[in-house]
Order: sequence, then structure tokens, then C-alpha cells
Amino acid sequence: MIHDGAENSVSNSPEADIPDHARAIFAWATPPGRSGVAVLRISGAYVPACAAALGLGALTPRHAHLRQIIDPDNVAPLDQALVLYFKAPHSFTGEDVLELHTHGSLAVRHQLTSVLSALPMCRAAEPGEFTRQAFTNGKLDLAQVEGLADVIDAQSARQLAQAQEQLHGSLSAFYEGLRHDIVRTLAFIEAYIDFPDEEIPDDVMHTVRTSVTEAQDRIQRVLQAPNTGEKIREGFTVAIIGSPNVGKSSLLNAIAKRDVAIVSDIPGTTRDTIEVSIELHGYLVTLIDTAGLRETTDQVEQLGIERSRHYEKNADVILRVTDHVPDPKQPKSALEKNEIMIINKCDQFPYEPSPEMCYISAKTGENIDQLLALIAAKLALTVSRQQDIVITRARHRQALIAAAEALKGFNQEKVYELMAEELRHAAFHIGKITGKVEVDQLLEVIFSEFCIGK
Amino acid sequence: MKHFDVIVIGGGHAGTEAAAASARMGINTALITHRYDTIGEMSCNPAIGGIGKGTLVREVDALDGVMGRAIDQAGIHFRILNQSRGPAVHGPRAQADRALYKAAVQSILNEYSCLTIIEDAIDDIIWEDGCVKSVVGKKESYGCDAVVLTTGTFLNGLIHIGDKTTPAGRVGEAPSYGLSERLRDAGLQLGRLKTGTPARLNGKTIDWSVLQEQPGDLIPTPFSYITDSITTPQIRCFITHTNEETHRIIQENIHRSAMYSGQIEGVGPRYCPSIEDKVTRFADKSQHQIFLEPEGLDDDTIYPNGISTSLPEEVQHAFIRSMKGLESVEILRPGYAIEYDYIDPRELCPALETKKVSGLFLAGQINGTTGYEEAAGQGIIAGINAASKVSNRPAFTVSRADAYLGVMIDDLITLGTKEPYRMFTSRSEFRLSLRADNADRRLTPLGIQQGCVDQTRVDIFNSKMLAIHKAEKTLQSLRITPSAAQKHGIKINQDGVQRSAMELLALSDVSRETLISIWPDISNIRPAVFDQCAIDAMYARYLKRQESERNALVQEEAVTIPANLNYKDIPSLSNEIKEKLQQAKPNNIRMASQIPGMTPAAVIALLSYINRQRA
Repeated sequence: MIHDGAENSVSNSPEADIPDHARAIFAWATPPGRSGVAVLRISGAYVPACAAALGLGALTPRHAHLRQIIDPDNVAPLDQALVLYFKAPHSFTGEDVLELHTHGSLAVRHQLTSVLSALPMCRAAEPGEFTRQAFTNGKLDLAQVEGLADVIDAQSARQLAQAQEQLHGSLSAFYEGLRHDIVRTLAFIEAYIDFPDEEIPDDVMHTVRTSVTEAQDRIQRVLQAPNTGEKIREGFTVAIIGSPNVGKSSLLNAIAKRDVAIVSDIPGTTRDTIEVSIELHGYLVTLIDTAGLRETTDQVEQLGIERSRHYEKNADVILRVTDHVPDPKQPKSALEKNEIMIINKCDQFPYEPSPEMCYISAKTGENIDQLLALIAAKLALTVSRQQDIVITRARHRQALIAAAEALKGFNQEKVYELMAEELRHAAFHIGKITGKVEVDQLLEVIFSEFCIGK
Repeated sequence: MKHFDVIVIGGGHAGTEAAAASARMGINTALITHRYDTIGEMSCNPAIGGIGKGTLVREVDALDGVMGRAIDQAGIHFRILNQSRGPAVHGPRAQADRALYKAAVQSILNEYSCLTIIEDAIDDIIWEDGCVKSVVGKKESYGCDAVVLTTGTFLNGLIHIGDKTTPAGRVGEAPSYGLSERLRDAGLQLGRLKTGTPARLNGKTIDWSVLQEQPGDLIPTPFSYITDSITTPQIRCFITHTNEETHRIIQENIHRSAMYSGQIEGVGPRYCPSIEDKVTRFADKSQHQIFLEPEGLDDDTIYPNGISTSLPEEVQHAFIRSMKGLESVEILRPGYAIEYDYIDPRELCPALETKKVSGLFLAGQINGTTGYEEAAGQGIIAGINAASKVSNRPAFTVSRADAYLGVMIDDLITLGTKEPYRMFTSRSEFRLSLRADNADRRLTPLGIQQGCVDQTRVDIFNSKMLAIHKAEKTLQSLRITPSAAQKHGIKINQDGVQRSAMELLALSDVSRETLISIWPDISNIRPAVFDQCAIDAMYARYLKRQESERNALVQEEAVTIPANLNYKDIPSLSNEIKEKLQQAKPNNIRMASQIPGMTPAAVIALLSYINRQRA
């Protein structure tokens, strides 16, 4: 199809027309983070269509199938998965349900999520939407329903605590502020509509346009900002940087507690970066061993060094490693906030503990625990230093994108009632994040405010 | 003792609609009012409709009500407000000749053979075991199975002009006292509200030549779906403005206004402020516009819309005469503020029946609303329900997804109101589908099903629907390629995908003429019918988007709570919540969730209990 960008486009794809509420919903049933196996559930009338789109072939209800998941975009295999199909009404939600047991790597999770998000016949589930569907279809027994009340109470307390400690309330303040401003802007237009005889000054429309542009900017800034929130779930990068043969790979191994990197004492052994995922004080961290920085004519090594430079710039925390006590007469190069100065091989020389550098021995494991604590502290600092608002959940991102779409629609509309409609829609989506929805839809609010299962 | 199945007390806009609706349903109905000649009186401004309000009138008309037909006979200056905006926010409005309006209402009521009109003043309502039995008038008592109470501002009415107070329901009419006490006895919560009206002027003493004219629409659009055209002669309206001198006079005397001296306890509407309010709250505005509205063709009385006041008479004289064109105007009657009792509308269920007394229905200003249209809207719903109750038909309720009537009643009974409630289009989340142009398509089928629509209208409605259906089918079947469309000047994606005429109509720059140039057959579709298709096409994209929201709402409304549910029996609820629920007796889960203090956990517990009761 040719997109010429004309305003008056009429969509002709029947699937693009599926309203939100009719689409199948999907969500990961296993908690975020790396795991051996991850389970994704899809529920709704469009489940067969989704299965077809993922190239799963014919499925027999209530049988386990080993199938390739195909990325419909490039027809490439995405992962091999155990596939279970439950036909309505014999399923957890009472609708058609598909369960995909995939490999638990972040990459697979990420890719499958984005493939499904792009399909017109499904969308990411709201929190608790699966449970809600099960409830609506009478799939929860009485005890479960009664238990739900307790869960909700417990859940709300936990969510509150989470919101408070993780984000210091700035997140909800941001979204509430945004919603408040949009609603206020909406009120201006409503005034034109409901009081046409009231001599409302013409410059109000100018104010309205300015605030909409401003709201758009705020949303865009957040959508484009580096994403600490998602990082908390998807992992930080910690890069080990230093001259050749100072023991970078040994450090990686010491931290990873297993030999993942080839360690040798020939300078330049590590020519490419090596990554290890570890969990460090609750943070998911990708530890990156880089090629030693030096002048070289070896092309392969040069490429490795280029990568090292890339990580030096982009990693969340940098471990700068040397293997000797710096000469006190040399001018000290100022450390960036996210850098830790590490003196390796401290088993080979006497040293004075110093607050500015970390003496360790990758070989004997001396002071490695202190280093890990230091890295965790830096990560914590990164999280709290992030002054900008971050998106912590894919659902928030989705809502923000929908709100941004509506604001874009606002700019394209010419009649007031449709401009108002777009603003109302934008406010509605942002309200879904904070749980403040203008038109109070009870079940929606209950199950979205409180994350009851999935 | 005479007996009627349904008795309507009050002959205002709510009472009129209630009595007429009950009578249309073939129920033996009586309308009891102080004076026959005040039936259909416009006590405040001589106009019907406006933004949102005009849509309410269309909705009342769609249920075969009186108001639309009456104003079509009495209107002397028609205007569609918001004409420059889209059809979803068009507001039909008309100035009325008050005498013609009353006459039209009375003549329509006289046509109903099931309706008896009685002149009497009702002092008391009698119920036994929580069911209405009879009403007691000054002349005699009347037995009945249901009562619709539409007392307007008459309950403990008190008029304020400056520091003078006079007990009255309207100027020159006595208030009613006993009923308030009787309602309080029943355990109903009462509150007090205030509203105001401006002075009336003698049009012969106004210098019209210096004033700005506000013309009506060239071709008046009728309110009623069954009126062909407006035949009453049309007049012109004029506008004047307050000025700095006016504001000075008001400010200097502000302490003498009943509303500012603390003499009035009731709460007035923010959106219909007195001139005292306007001058005080918007001190930076140097002028406010005042519409000079004639009250009739053969009546020189002028209603100055925009200066309602409770200042003393001499101050009213002074500030009115400070305005352009009004320098030597004669004031026929001073403006006043009126305070009256109202019932907290949260006492009502969606059928507008009180939860505490079976068979007692309330409609109009008694429920805390303001405006003729709001009153008429509640009147027709209460009347249909009173008639349905006595004839064992199911209750007639309208969802907020279906009509402004539904929005209004839902707002009132779930949230109550702290100021006189008026309809605005912004109150509706489904504004794009709740339009003045399609009220009949939304509501007439529901009315026909309930039995409140006369055959004449049924026939007109059916043939219109058939025409729209045929036209839409035609417009959907005619298809064109984008390149051919472009040759007719239509800007469109050149993607090779054919479009139907209906799809083209969704584009803002495609007119009827353009389509006729492509398909000459389209000229056979009547313009009125074509317009309906065009409006549908215009909003189609948005209406689709609203569908999810609408579904969620309807789903929650569908989970009804039995009226006799004993909340004390639900084990997992806190005592506080139990009391709140027992007090509010919500009709469905959506309403329950709206009760302040309700927690999600409590709602789940309630849902689970209801499910168990059903099982």
C-alpha cells in the first residue's frame, strides 16, 4: 500500500478495524527477567488468527505441540516453543487461549512482545484483564472470587509501597499533571461548545494549541528518554575498561564466578566484547568485558577496541581497571560519576585502602564483594539520579503512545467537538496509567488499578 | 373517593410530560394543579432549547412528548446554536410566545382521552406499608396507585427582592408547605436551592433603533420530528450591554442584594449567575451582553436575559436604565431570587421512583435541576415509569450511552447535586452519538416498545428509518477507484483500493453535489435523509473508537443489584460500607462503585454475594 501522507486516508484493511475490546489480549504469565522458560498467554476470539500469524500450524486443543514461532515480518524463526491451545469455553478465561512456552531469554521475550504488539488482532493486556475476563465468563469459583477481595487489599498496599519507594511519587505527579493540563485544555474547548453566546475571547484557542503542543513535547520527551524503568527490568550494562592485560577478563570471571571468558596473560587476548548476565543485589546486570585499549595495527583487535570505546560511552557503570597504584605525581584524571577506579592484583603489592579507588584481586577474590556492593550503589544512584520521568511498564508506554496519537489527531481536526474528542481520549489514556478515569468504569478500574494476576 | 391509576401533581413542564406520557400509555391519569390556566407556563425566560438542552427536547419528542410540538407552534425566533460547529453539538433553540406556548400545551393535553385535569392544591400524600395510596387536596382526596410529584419551586418557596421576602412558589402564587414535611417524614433527604429571574421590561419604552439585532435562522428548523415546517410569524431579537456605570451602581449596592447579604442560604447555579455575581467575580470585564427577548407577538413584555438579580427594586431601576437603549425603560415587574426545597436525587432509582416509598415518583426542579428541558425530560421518564408500574410493565430506563436523558438521571441519582443541575454536552462521554439530529433513532424504538408512542409518530418514524436504511445501502454499494475519484476533485490516497460513496462522505471536503456528479442517482435521496447518512459517515471513525467504552459501561450497568438485598448479611463488608450501601441502595454495580468510600474490595465482595444469591 502506498502511503502518500494525505490527511484523508481511508483504511481498507479489515483487521486494522478491529476495535480494542474485540482484540485478543496477551501477557507474559511468568515474571519479568531472565529465566529458563517463559510463558506467554493469548486470550480471545482472535487467538486462531494470532496462531496463524505466528505460523504455528494446526493445533489440537489441550495437546502440547513443539513448534517454531515465525516472525511474520521477515518469516524468520523466532524461537522454538511448546504450544498449548485451549478452546473456548474450556480455558482459564473462558475464551480461546494459547499458551506459548518459550525460551526465557530477554531477547526472545522482547521480540515476541513486539511481534504480537504489531499484530492488528491482538494487544497487550491491561493489568488483571485475564482475571477479569475469567470473572466475567464465570470461570472463577466462589472461593476464588472471595479470595480476590483479600488479594486486592494486599495488592493495593504493595503497589502503593512500590510506587512510593521506586519513584518517589514523581511518576504519578508527572502523569497526573499531564492529565490535569489536558483536561484543563479540554475545558477551554468545551466552553466554546457549551457557551457559544458567551463572548469567550478568541485568544483562548491560541492558549489551547500552545498547551497541546506542550503536552505533546512532554510525552515525546518521556517516550524518547533513556529508560531506567525498563532497565530495572531488562538489565543495566556494566563495562570493564582498561589497558591490555590488567586482568579485565579475570575480573569478569571473578564476578561471574565461572569461566566464561578466555583468560590468558597474552595482551590482547580479548578481541571482542564478552557479555555475562548476572544478578547483582537485585539488579539485572549485563557485565561486559572489553578489549584492552591500546594502539594496534591488528584490524580485528581495532574493531574490538572500537566496541570498547562504544561501551565506555554508553555503559551505565564503567569499571576502570589498572594493575598498579597510580603515580601520585601524575595528574589524576577526573572520574565520571558512573566510574569506579579499580586497582587489580592487590595480592601482589602492599596498598592503603582508599575511598577513591577499589583495590581487588581477581585472582584471590580479595575485596570482590566490596566491589559488587560499590557497583550496586552506583546503579542505585543511576536510578535515583534520573530526574526525568521514566516509563516503568510497557503498558504505560502503550498509553502514552495512544495519548500522543490523540494529541496528533487533535492538531488535524478542524471542528471543535472532534478536537475535544481527541483531548478527552488523550486524558482517558493517561488516566488509565494513574487509575483516574473520568468516566468511571468500575470493573475496568478495579482490575487495572490493582494488578490481580494476569 | 375518586380513583386514578396515576396522579401527577403539578402542571409545569415536568408535570405536563409525565401526565401526557402516562395517558399515551392508556393509563387512567389525573393531572392536579393549582390553576388550569397556568399549565405550560414559562415562569422564567420565554425560550426553549439551547446547547444540550435542545437535544433533551428532541429526546422528549422522540418519546412522543409534548414540548417539541408545543414550541413548534409557539416559537417566534428560531436559531440553531453552534451552527458553525459539527452536528454533534448543534443546539436547537427558540424564543416562544408565552401565551401561544401555554395554549399549545393545553390543547395537546386536551387530546388525551385518558387524562383528567383537576384544579386543586395538594397538601398531603398518603402511603401505607411504604406504598402510595392517595393524595389529599384542599377540595377533596383522590385515590391512586402511583404519584408523580412535580412541584417545581413551590416546596417552601420564598421570594427575595432586596431585603423583602415573600413566601411564594412563583410571583403571585402561594407556595406549598405540608408536602415538604411529609417527604421528610418518609426519611427523604431535603436540601435548599436558589434560582433567580430578571426584571421584566416594557418593550414600548425601549429605544430599539440604537440596538444591535440578533436575527433568527432564515428557515426555522422545527424541534419535533413530526412537525413539517414552522408557520408561526417570526420576530427579531436585540442585544444590549451592561457598562461601567451599570457595574458601579451594582457594586455600590451589592450589600443590599439578598444573595450577598447572607439572607439566602440556598445554593445558586454557577452557570446562570446573577448580575451581582458577574460583576463581582469577573470584575475585569467592562461589559456583559444582555439579550432582549420579546415574550410574545402581541405582548410588549421584554425578558432581559442576563441580568437576573435580587437587588432592591430601586437599584434594579437605576442599573437597568444605565444601559444603552434602556435609558427610559419602564420596569413592569422587578427581578427576584427564589429559594425552595429540593429532594436529594440520590433518593431515586433510575425510573425516578423514590427508593423509600413505592409508587412515589419525583420529576423536575424538585430533584435539584433547573430548566424547562431538564424538567420535561425527567417528567416524561417518570410518567412512563409510573404508568409502567401500575400496568405491570418493566421499568423504562435509559442508559447514559443512549441519551442525555440517561446522562442527566444517572448524574443526579448517583452523584446528587449541590447546585441546580443543568444539561451540558460536556457532561456526556458519548456526545458524538447523542445528537439532536438522531434522538428519534436512539429513543423512538425504545418508546414504541414501552408503548408510549402514538401510531402517527410510529408511521412517520418507520418510513424515515426505511429511507435512511435504503440510502445507506445505496451509498455503500456505489464504489469508485481512487484515480477516478481524484478526477472529480477528491483528495484521496492513490492506493488502488476502491471506496464506497459512504466512505467518501467521511472526508470533510466531499459534498452531496460532488457525489451526484459521480453518481447522478444519488440525487434521488432526499436531502434530509442524505444528511443523516453524511453525519453517520462523518463521525464513524470516532464512534467505532467509543465502542469499547460503551461496552464496558453497558456491561457494568447490566449487573443489577436486587432492591431487597440486605447488605448487613454480606459478611466481608465493613460496617461503614454496609451502612453506605444500605442508605444508597444502588441499582447496579456501576452505581455501587460510584458511592464515595466504596473500595474495590467491597465491590468484589458485593459482586460475589450477588452471584451466590443468584446461584
